[in-house]
This record gives sequence, C-alpha cells and structure tokens, in this order.
Amino acid sequence: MRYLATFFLIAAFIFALPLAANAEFNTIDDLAKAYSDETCKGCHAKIYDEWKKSYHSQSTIHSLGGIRNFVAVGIQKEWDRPINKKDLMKCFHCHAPQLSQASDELAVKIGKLIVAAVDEKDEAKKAAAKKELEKLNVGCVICHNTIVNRPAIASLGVPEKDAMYGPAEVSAPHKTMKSNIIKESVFCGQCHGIYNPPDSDLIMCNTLYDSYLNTYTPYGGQQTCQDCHMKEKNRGHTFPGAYVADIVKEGIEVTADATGYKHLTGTKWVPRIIVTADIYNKSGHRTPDG
Amino acid sequence: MVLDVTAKDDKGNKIFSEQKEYVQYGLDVDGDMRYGAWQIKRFADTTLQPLAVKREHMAIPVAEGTKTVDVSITLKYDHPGAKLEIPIYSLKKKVTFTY
Ligand code: HEC
Ligand code: HEC
Ligand code: HEC
Ligand code: HEC
Ligand code: HEC
Repeated sequence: MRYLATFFLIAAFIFALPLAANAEFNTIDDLAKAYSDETCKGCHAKIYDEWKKSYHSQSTIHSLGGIRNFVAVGIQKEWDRPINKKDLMKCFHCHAPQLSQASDELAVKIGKLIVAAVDEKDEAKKAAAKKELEKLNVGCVICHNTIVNRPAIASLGVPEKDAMYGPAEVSAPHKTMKSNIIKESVFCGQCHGIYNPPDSDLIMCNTLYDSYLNTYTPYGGQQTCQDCHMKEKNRGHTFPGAYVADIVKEGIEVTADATGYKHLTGTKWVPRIIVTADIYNKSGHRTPDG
Repeated sequence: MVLDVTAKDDKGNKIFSEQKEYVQYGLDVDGDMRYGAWQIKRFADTTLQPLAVKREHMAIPVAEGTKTVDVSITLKYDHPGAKLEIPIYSLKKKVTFTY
C-alpha cells in the first residue's frame, strides 16, 4: 500500500513537471508556472538555494534599466516601432528565453511592464510591475531543457518534453537525459557572447565567450566555463562573477615594486622612482567584461 | 578595473598620481560611445587579456633633497552602478634617498 502511494506520488510528479514545449501563454503566471523552479526545490534544495543567490535568478530585474532603455528608446524612439515580441526577443533570447512562448499580446504587456517598473511615478504600481518581472529569469528548466541543445540544434534536435538534461547518467523520479553539451563552454557561450537575431541584426551585450574562444583557448587555456564557475571550490549553481570578491581576486595576479635611484641630468643627480606592475589575468576571458 | 599609483613626499604632499583603466567602451556605427546592447557594434578596448601579463612602467620625478617618498600601488575592480569596490591588490612602500 505504501509502495502504491509512492508510485502515485511519483506518477503525479511526472505529470506535474513543468514544461509545455509548444504551448503559448497568455498570462505571466501561466508562463512562470510552466517554468516553475519551485517544482525542483523540494528535491534539489541545495541547488535551488545556490541558484536563487545567482544573477541567473534575477536576469530580468538585475538588467532592468538597460532593458527599459531598449524598449522605451531603442524600439519606440530610434526604430519608431510599437513594442513587439520579435524585438523584445533581441534581449530575452538570453535574459529570459521563455518569453518566446508568450503570446504576442502577453509579450507587449511585458514590454509595458518593463517601462512601468522604471518610469512609473506611483511607487506601488512600480513595485508591482517589478514583482511581476521577477518571474522571468534563467531558471532550472531553461538550462536543463529549453535551451540545452540550442547551439547544436540541427544534430541534437529539440529536447524531449519533460526530460531533464544533466551531465550524468542517473536514475531519478523524473525523466533524465545524459547531455554532453551541457558540460561544454558553448552551452554558456550561447548567452555570454555576440548574438545574431533572425533579422540579421547584431547584439553585443557581452562578448566574453568570443574572448574565451579567440584568446583563452589559442593561448593554451584548457578549462571550461563550468570548471571555473561551477566545479572549482564547489561553487555549484551560485555562478559567481564580477561582483564576488573571492573569484575576482582568484582571476588576477599582481607583482609590483617601486625602486628609487638618482638620475643624471647634465651634471646633476636628481632622485627618481621607477614603478613596475605586472598584472596577470588568470581567468578564461578578458577582464573586465563590459 | 583601475591601477592607481600615488606618491607622497616626506611632507605629505602628493607628488605623483596616475591611473590606468582597464575597460571596454561600447561604440556605435558612428564611433560614438553607447551603453545600449542594440547600439554597440565595436569597442574601444583596454581590458586585460586572458593568460597574458600587462606590464606597466612609470617613472616618478622627485624633487632634490626629498629624503623619503611613500608609494602606494593599488588595483581594484569597481562597479560604480552597484556602489561596490573590490580591492584586488595593494602595496605600500617607503623609498629612501640619501645625499
Ligand atoms: C546573447 C545573450 C544576450 C543578449 C541577446 C542580450 N543580453 Fe544582456 N546580458 C547577457 C549576459 C550573459 C549578461 C551578464 C554579463 C556579465 O555580467 O558579464 C548581460 C548583462 C546585461 C546588462 C548588465 C547587467 C549588469 O551587470 O548590471 C544589461 C543592462 C543588459 N544585459 C541589457 C540587455 C539588453 C537591453 C539587451 C537587448 C537589446 C540584451 N541585454 C541582450 C546576455 C545577453
Ligand atoms: C545557467 C544554466 C543553469 C541553470 C539556471 C541551472 N543549472 Fe543545473 N546545471 C547546469 C550545468 C552546466 C550543470 C553541469 C555542470 C557540470 O558538471 O559540468 C548542471 C548540473 C545540475 C545537476 C547535476 C549535478 C549537480 O550539481 O548535482 C542538477 C541536479 C541540476 N543542475 C539541477 C538544477 C536545478 C534544480 C536548477 C534550478 C534551481 C538548475 N539546475 C539551474 C546549468 C544550469
Ligand atoms: C521528486 C524529487 C525530484 C524533483 C521534484 C526533481 N528532481 Fe531532479 N532529480 C531527482 C533525483 C533523485 C535525481 C538523481 C540524483 C541527482 O542527480 O540528484 C535527479 C536528477 C536530476 C538531473 C540530472 C542530474 C545529473 O547528474 O545529470 C537534473 C538535470 C534534474 N534532476 C533537474 C531537475 C529539475 C530542473 C527539476 C524541476 C523542474 C527537478 N529535477 C525536480 C529528484 C527530483
Ligand atoms: C539562457 C542564457 C544563459 C545561459 C545558458 C547562461 N547564462 Fe550566465 N547569465 C545570463 C544572463 C542574462 C546573466 C546576467 C543577469 C543579470 O545580471 O541581469 C548571466 C550572468 C552570469 C554570471 C554573473 C555575471 C556577473 O558579472 O556577476 C556568471 C558568472 C554566469 N552567468 C556564468 C554562466 C556560466 C558558467 C554558464 C554556463 C554553465 C552560463 N552562465 C549560462 C544568461 C545565461
Ligand atoms: C580559468 C578559469 C575561468 C574560465 C575558463 C572562465 N572563467 Fe569566467 N571568470 C573567471 C574569473 C576568475 C572571473 C572574475 C574576474 C573577472 O571579472 O574576469 C570570471 C568572471 C566572469 C564573468 C563576469 C565578468 C565581468 O567582468 O562582468 C562572467 C559573466 C563569466 N566569467 C562567465 C564565463 C563564461 C561564460 C565562461 C566560458 C565561456 C567563463 N567565464 C570561463 C574565471 C574563468
């Protein structure tokens, strides 16, 4: 009987796993539910807490000012177009890829919320808009399903609905798939490099992957993004970057000195100091980025 | 990221101050600096390259008769937007001259 109860629990869970790969959503809540990270929290509590502290969990609101400028200035003023989903995806391709499953109407609504969350004079309305936007981020399902095959989509195909793609062969109470690409730098690079949207525009939000690819590896660098940002010091899903002292210091080695001598000018010796500073960038890309 | 070299003489007067900034400025198609990801098409780039050493050299002229100079060399990663400053390196050295 207990066995049966467990079975039903697991069966219920399998059907409750978020994701509706081809669905189109009309409200932020339905969209957020389809990508709910809360579903994972119960069993992957430690990872959830780590992720919650990372900027991936705040990938819309932490960049809000810049995204607001794109909507209010870029789309509406410079391009003289109404807010539209296609243009919004030029940012949300990386900042919250689930927007691709919003209906056109919902996308426009989100565009307006972004402007309101910065410009709204009524503080309560402003806070409410921001709260709604917190629901859009780079969450568990995004990385472990939605976008996992994106950089090799032609050969790997669209991810299987309801399967969680991970680095290992494991047995879990939900469908899992072993993925090689998730361990590769290109997996991160798809969002941490230059982006070409379908209309051939070029979005240079950050170019760190380009630096990794064209400078770090040709100079003999062998580590992946995951090696330094996840495995090193068990950083896991906290994804520390430029705001975390520990990793910033780890990436830079400085040797400096100052020595005095007397310099001969004409017939007189004048004191002078020579300063040297050697700054070695041990990280996997240019520093700083942006 | 900023390297700061400052020197003070034995009377506490600042006799030298120089900053080297390692930074990437986005530029649009007209070569004007921009912040918008949709506007940026190239960079003015003085960032530190991976697996490479950037060597800085400076000569500090000192007035004759000065006996000691305090030199300070610091490197920090600053995020003005977030009001955050991460100190990476700091050296303070007293240089002495005898006449
Ligand atoms: C190819 C993926 C990608 C695209 C497309 C993209 N971004 Fe970003 N964006 C990122 C990543 C990754 C970061 C974090 C990079 C870092 O901190 O080094 C980021 C950071 C930012 C930040 C800075 C956050 C901070 O650290 O303060 C802003 C603002 C921003 N993006 C705005 C935009 C806007 C506006 C667009 C659309 C015009 C856009 N981004 C398009 C991936 C992208
Ligand atoms: C930005 C992308 C990204 C996000 C967001 C993300 N993960 Fe991961 N996750 C990865 C990568 C990459 C690995 C594999 C690291 C490796 O071993 O190379 C991984 C590994 C894992 C693993 C197996 C290894 C381990 O650490 O135990 C589990 C389980 C997991 N993630 C669950 C989650 C859950 C749950 C969430 C949300 C709370 C989440 N992930 C959010 C990218 C992500
Ligand atoms: C009922 C408990 C439970 C829930 C809920 C759950 N998982 Fe898991 N998951 C497991 C167990 C157990 C494993 C296998 C052991 C491990 O890797 O932690 C696993 C494995 C995984 C793996 C493969 C790890 C690897 O090493 O390759 C990924 C990825 C993953 N889960 C992601 C998720 C995501 C994302 C969610 C939420 C949408 C989720 N899980 C919800 C229990 C659960
Ligand atoms: C779906 C797109 C996406 C993927 C995939 C992704 N990231 Fe990110 N990442 C972002 C965005 C967007 C931000 C910036 C969020 C913000 O600050 O607004 C970010 C932020 C970060 C930061 C924090 C930057 C800082 O300055 O503190 C680090 C570190 C990071 N990502 C590393 C990784 C690594 C390593 C991987 C691969 C395992 C990865 N990311 C995969 C989109 C992505
Ligand atoms: C050899 C180790 C190493 C590798 C490989 C590596 N990183 Fe980093 N990364 C660091 C260190 C150290 C820092 C902190 C210093 C800094 O800001 O550059 C950092 C910083 C970052 C930042 C914040 C940059 C900023 O200045 O805003 C992001 C984002 C990031 N890494 C993403 C990635 C991605 C994506 C990859 C793979 C393409 C990657 N890293 C590969 C070590 C590494």
